Amino acid sequence: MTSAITLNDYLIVSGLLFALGIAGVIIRRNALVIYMALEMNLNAANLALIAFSKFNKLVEGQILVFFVIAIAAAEVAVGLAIIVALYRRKQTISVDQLTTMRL
Amino acid sequence: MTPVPYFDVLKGLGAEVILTLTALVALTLDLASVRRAEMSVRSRTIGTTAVVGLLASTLPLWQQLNGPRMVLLGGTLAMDDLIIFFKLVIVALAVITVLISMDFDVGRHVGEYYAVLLFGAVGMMLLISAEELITIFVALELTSVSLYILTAFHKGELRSQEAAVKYFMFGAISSAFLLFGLSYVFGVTGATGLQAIQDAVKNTGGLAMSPLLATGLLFTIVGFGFKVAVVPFHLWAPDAYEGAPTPVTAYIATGSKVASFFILLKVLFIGFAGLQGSAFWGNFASGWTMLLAVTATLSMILGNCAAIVQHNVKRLLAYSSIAQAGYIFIGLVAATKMGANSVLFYIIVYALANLGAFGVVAALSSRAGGDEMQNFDGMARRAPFLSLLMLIFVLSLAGIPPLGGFFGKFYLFASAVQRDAQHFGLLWLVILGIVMSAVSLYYYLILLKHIYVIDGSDQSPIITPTYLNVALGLVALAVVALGVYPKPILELLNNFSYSVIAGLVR
Amino acid sequence: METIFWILSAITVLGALFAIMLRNLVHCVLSLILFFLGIAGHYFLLRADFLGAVQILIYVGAVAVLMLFAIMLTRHVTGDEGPREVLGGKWWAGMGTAIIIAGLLWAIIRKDQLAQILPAGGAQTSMVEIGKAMVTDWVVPFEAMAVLLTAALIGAVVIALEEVIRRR
Repeated sequence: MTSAITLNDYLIVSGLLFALGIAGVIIRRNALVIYMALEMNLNAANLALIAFSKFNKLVEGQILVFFVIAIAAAEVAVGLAIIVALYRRKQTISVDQLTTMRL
Repeated sequence: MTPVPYFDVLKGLGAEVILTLTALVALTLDLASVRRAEMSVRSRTIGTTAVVGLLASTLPLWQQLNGPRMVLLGGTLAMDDLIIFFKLVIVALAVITVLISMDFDVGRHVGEYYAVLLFGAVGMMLLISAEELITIFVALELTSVSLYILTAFHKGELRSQEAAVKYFMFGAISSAFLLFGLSYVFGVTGATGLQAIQDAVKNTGGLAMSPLLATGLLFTIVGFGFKVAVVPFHLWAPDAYEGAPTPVTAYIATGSKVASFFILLKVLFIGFAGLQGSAFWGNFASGWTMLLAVTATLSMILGNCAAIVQHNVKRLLAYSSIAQAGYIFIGLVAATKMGANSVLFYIIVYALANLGAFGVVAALSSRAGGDEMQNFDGMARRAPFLSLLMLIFVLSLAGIPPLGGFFGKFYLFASAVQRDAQHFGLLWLVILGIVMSAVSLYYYLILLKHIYVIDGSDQSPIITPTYLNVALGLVALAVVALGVYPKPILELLNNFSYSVIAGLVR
Repeated sequence: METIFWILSAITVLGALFAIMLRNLVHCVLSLILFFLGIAGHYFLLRADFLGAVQILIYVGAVAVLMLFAIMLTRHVTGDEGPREVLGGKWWAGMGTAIIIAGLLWAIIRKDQLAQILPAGGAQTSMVEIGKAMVTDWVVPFEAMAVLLTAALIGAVVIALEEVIRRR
């Protein structure tokens, strides 16, 4: 027993981060911070994947994480462009103000 | 390491390669030659290019038809007749979407619009041929990102920007849930191929009860639930459908739905084949059928009831789509070969009818000044042909015989009744479905009342381009044909779906 | 090893917590960078060196900087989140949800039979191995990724650029 760190420790940290990400999405009204919280969720899943990858001695987990990082970068570019476009039209990025369409 | 069959991969991806190249050609053509031309000329030129590319992409597909089932590179690329047939369906939906778009004001960035639309089609096709989690995730993201971009394309309209923000946010949440779920599935089974996951689940008997795997399954279903917009993960759908440019709405509601349902079916029926549980009345067991039964119930009730109070046509169709997703889930809950067939049949019928309905809305709303209900008053006199088509599409969605929607729904319900036929275990779900279909008739008829009965203030006739009339007419013909004579498609699906349900047969 | 793990975890969790709680958006991004670095540290600890480097390059180098740009482009919102917003009714809902999710996951993870010690040390996955896998077994998603990046590039430009041209 060389190390006392277990897979479970990693999973718990990852689960905690995922929960914090969801909390951020619910608490915050600013679209930018919500995006940040979503990035946190993806990172939490990535951490679990790398831990599992190591645990299973498989490279697949790392490959998926690499793809996820690349996708996240692309998604953030599109998402921030959308936010900036909305801000130009509306001068706000609070999600409470997205009320043009109702029922 | 076995040598990689690059040539087979290239052959298998022939259609996707052609579509990607067409997208680049459309971009270049727009930039190089027609940038200064009239808007309508640009739109027609680039749109025609896209249609030609889409039609060309079917050539490699026809060639692969009737070939043996091939699974390349651990499932990143699978090929069989079912997959090729659904790729053809995606191409057909994309062609109609392009034709609807050519008649619609999509803003100044015409080349970019059609390029992104084609990239979206590439994503859907890759999604359909994927039988492996990493490929599924990447293809799903390619589809979603293309659709977020298209949603924001209506630069002049605030609604479009708001819809894009909402769609993007819920899409990103769903990706996060999906990825988290997939990470647990990968961690427990040590595999990413759907078939390998099934084997891992079945080989280790105790694994089926593993709490981690159950959590992974739950999160995966939540992720897909967002993508196909079932209650309680539907919150983005009404706003995204209403705010997006109407051709894009049609694309979101049909192309991406078909691809998402197809892959959800595969993930559940192949990957999680050992974990169905049971949704039989009085005999519930934890598993994915129970989860789906709950979401199906909520979707049918909430989707139909919320649709009644809508006064925007696109929003009404959005809520009706949520309800339709609920019906489709009934077939998944059945978890049999017949269930799979009925789901596959119904998503085709649903996609055609919905695409047609949104197509008519796109063509008429841009000329009638809006997509509220009262804009459609007296439309039967102003545009009799398109109104007739709308009648067919809407009645098919409502499930009126002899249209495709009726037969599809009947088949879905029959598959649920046949499952556990002695005890009628799923009868509760079927009864709910039938009652809710009756409710849905009410709001579909309100829409038709606006078109056919109420007289509008504006009586001037609306003239739509011939190519659009022909295209939508063909869609309507297909909807009628699938209801009157569904046998060929059913036989096709029956022969094909062996590969999907093999894991469920015990 | 153990100490490093707990220090990194503390950094990551605190970074995440501050990123969703601080009112100043620039401070949020700075905490987020701390969070990204903590995750990268975890990757290094798990011997996924390549991904640790990619994490720093892309998340810290690109995503966080992009977010700072977005904050500057939507400038006047930087300080406009008063205490009402952060401490409003949503506050308890959010934290409640977080506690429920975290608690459930904790219970599930504790209960699961997988509770074994990670193979310590272990061979690190080399860049060569990942690079080879990308162009052999995972060549299809790799190509799909390329299409996705192209689509995102086109889309981001079209969506963000329009109004600038119109103003000229």
